[in-house]
Amino acid sequence: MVREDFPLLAETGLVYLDNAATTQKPRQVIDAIKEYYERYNANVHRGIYPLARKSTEIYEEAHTRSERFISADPGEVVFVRNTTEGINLVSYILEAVAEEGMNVVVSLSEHHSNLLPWRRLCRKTGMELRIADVRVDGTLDEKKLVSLIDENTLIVAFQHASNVTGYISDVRRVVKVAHQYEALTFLDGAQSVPHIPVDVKRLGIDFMAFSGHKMLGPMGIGVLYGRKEVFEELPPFLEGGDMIKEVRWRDGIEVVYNTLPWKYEAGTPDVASAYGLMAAMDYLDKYGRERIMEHEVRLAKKTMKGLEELGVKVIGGEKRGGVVAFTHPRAFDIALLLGEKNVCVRAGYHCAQPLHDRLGGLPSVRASFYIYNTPEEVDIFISELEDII
Amino acid sequence: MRTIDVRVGAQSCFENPVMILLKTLPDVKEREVEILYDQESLSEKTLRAMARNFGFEIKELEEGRAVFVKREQG
Repeated sequence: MVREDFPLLAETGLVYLDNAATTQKPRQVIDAIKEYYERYNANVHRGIYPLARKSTEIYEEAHTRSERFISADPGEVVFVRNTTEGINLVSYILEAVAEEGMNVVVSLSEHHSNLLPWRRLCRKTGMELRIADVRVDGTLDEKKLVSLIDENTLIVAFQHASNVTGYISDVRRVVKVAHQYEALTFLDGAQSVPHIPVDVKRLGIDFMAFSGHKMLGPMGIGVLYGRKEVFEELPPFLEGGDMIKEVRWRDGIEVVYNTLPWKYEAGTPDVASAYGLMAAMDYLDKYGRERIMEHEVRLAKKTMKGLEELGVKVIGGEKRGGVVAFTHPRAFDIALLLGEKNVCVRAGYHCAQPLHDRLGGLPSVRASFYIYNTPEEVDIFISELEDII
Repeated sequence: MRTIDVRVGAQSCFENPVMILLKTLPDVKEREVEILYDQESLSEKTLRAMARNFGFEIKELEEGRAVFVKREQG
């Protein structure tokens, strides 16, 4: 029984349907973090003594484990704090190659975190930000997205799965066109990697980011994938600590940067969270992400049917993962009243306010599912919602 | 009597009637507080839940306006 692995759920009986925001943690992850601090804590890549060597071994193993989780090659996984930081990192290092006359292509359905860093980059460098409109139902429109790509496109940044509509994008279709124009691609994997098998090589993307806390792991650690050939050509982001190989005093300061992935990891990292992230990946792989997605889709379909019976119109179409949202003028009010009944959902714009504006401007109520949710919880959600609306 | 106006124009995840009340009501020092609200975005059920959770009783409730009074201790 999966649910018993999650102390917060087992002890409170909460109906937790806010998994697109963050997920609950299984005992295995909580124990790993505790174990690290009780048995292995030392700084990495510095100490000679056995404890420091063990800590370094753990941290490097966490990179290898993460590479395996998304089928990346050695050196292609950089640990960051979260998806947002990963996107920002790439937007900053691309300043080195960005020029006026170039453009960045995004979709209107993006999370603010996959919109604002690119807007900043464009404003800083004089590039054009091209924003592809969505379909009528609010889902990412691949046809419109690729129509904006041309020979001056530096990068196409888009979501793999939407945190509002649940729509899962046709990544390969976008990547194929982007690469025809020699444009880079950035995939926001925050809502996909925790739920579906992702193979970065098969997808052909250049960059991807995802967060540990949305996949049963700790808050404060995320993964940035960068294709080695691209990462190697770009400059470092933050400087100091582990990203340095040598700093010498000659006629001035001379610096040799570290190899990948350490080139992009400045300062002492969060090793305990990396250890916890490994435990989360092991937990998910035990069940298999294909099975997890099937489970979530079943719950989403049941929810959509229940909402339809209440006369509530869901945002998005049929093709979706485990996210179901509907707009309502009293979205915040509904979420508060559901909370009074121990049902946790998100209300608002879910950091995708331009998308909500495009859909009429109302906030939405969102239920998002994960491995531990049950059909009975869907029944409770629908039944409590019926009382409220 | 203090007045809390939650008829916010543009709403966001962080600035909306419910969030404003959740942030403001716990710090109310006055015995009575008047709440001006938009019925489109806030229900009577929510106002009752807020009053109950933060130690108030509802003294008046009319269209778009509620008056909460602090519950007597003991």
